[in-house]
Amino acid sequence: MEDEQDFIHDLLNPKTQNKAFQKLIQKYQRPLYSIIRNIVLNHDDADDVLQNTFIKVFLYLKKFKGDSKLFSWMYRIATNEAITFLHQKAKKNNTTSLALQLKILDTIKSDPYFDGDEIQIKLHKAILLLPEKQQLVFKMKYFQELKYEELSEILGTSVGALKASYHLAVKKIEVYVKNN
Amino acid sequence: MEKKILDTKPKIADGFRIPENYFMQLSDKIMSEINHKPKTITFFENKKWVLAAAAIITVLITTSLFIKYSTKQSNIEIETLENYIAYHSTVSDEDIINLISEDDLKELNFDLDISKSEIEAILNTNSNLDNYLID
Repeated sequence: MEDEQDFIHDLLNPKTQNKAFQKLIQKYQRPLYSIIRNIVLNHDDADDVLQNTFIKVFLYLKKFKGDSKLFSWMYRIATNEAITFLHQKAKKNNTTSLALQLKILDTIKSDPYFDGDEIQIKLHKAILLLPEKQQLVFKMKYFQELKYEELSEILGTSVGALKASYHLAVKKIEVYVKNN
Repeated sequence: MEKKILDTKPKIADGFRIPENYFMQLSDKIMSEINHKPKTITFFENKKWVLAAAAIITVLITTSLFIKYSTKQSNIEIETLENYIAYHSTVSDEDIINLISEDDLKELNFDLDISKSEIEAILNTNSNLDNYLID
């Protein structure tokens, strides 16, 4: 924790800021990209959202109070950015976020940056049918293997509620895959 | 017992690939974006500037509207009042006489402190006064 405070201090000090921020990007770019990509589904959109996320992190660092870990705070910004991006894109296309995501999945086989097969597409479709928060819980737990304590800090929900939510999501996905 | 899909090992991957060297170039891309953008963003981010600008604009608009309408309104009021009293009033001369008390008359006398020569001048200029005198 003390290390993190020193790091935050470096991030806020104009003399060390650039170097520290570069370090921050390198450390967190992969996990943040992963959760964003799992929401927006294609690489170009994930790239836009990830860049915006880091720019927002840079701008709001002064306001970071240290109540949670830096990673959890950044994760929250990333998921909010990705969900907002998706809503805006859907609005522009006169459709809903869910319809837009399902449409992307229908043609995802031709995406050069997707190398999944039928079972993966089916899994992504099953996830999309879950409520928004359950989707996040499942993606963070199953694909990213975050601990429940980390999830609790990111989503502001108790560990018990998260466990229940994850098990419910697993059940629903299993049913969907079996029936389709 | 039937094997569940999410229990399989290894786990099902998300299937998303990333362009080669994407993460190697990302930090430079973001840093150059940050170093080129901050001035415009910080202005809007800085609430004090926005609040100060909004306050000045509000004061300017309110003042100009106040000056414009306050002068115009008082002109209209006087005119309207005059017209109303002249053409639409149901108050007769008698009513006015009844309303004026002795004290009011005394005050009026005091106010009308006009010299004899002035009265004479007024009488000379009003030619139709003779009619009243005859009556």
